[in-house]
Amino acid sequence: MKIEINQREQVSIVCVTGSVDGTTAPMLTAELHACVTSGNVCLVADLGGVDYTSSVGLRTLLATMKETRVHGGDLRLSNVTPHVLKVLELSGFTSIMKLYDDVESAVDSYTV
Amino acid sequence: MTSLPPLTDGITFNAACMSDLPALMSMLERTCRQVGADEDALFSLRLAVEEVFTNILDYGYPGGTGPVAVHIDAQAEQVRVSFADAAPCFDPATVPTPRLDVPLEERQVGGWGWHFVRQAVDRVEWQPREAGGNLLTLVKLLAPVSLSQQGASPNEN
Repeated sequence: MKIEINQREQVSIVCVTGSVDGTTAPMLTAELHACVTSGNVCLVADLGGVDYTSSVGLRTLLATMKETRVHGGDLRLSNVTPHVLKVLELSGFTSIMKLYDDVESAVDSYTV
Repeated sequence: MTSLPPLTDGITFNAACMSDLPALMSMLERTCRQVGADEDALFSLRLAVEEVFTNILDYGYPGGTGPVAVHIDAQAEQVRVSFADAAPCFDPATVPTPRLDVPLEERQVGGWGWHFVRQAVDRVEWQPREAGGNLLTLVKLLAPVSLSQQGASPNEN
């Protein structure tokens, strides 16, 4: 799994590539937590390169979303691939998380 | 380490900790592709196998380390994945389905593993082993593969 973080004004774009499973999720959790603790609470996860996630990846997303919202921010998802979307739907996450077709729409959603 | 009984027909991967997951997933994918499993079936099997494997290590063994023999029997019609462990007896049928309609504030950070397993495969069979431990089997039915699809398979023998 690869993680790349780009700052766009007040929004941190976290681009993830690869699989989020029991061996890789701790790294993603740590990076997202580091973003929040450094004051970047408006996050966009670009998941276009993520072909797989298990429940451990969902725990990462949910924990981060809760953490950002406590500080007035959010974690919003973009470019969600079909298999990852299926996992989000199975867990009912699509009703509590904001999903966007592309990164630009997700970033713009913070200024609307 | 407690020895586990040999299983017949198919391939067995003897795992012991979470760092064995990538090798297990590679074996699962390779074995299932050989019988023509499509991407959706592969994804479902991968999800179910990881959730079971993780649960055994996280909740079955103190410290997250212990013997888990994962046996894969892939046929054209179905894939059977069995897990034999030496952990305390645990029937996954006793795990309730999580509530999916609760607001964010009430969401628990976890608890979806067995829910995913039930959704991803067609059957979940469990029985305690006489010598102690559990034998859990997942069954995933595969969609029929047409002759033209078989001819296009890069893994055709």
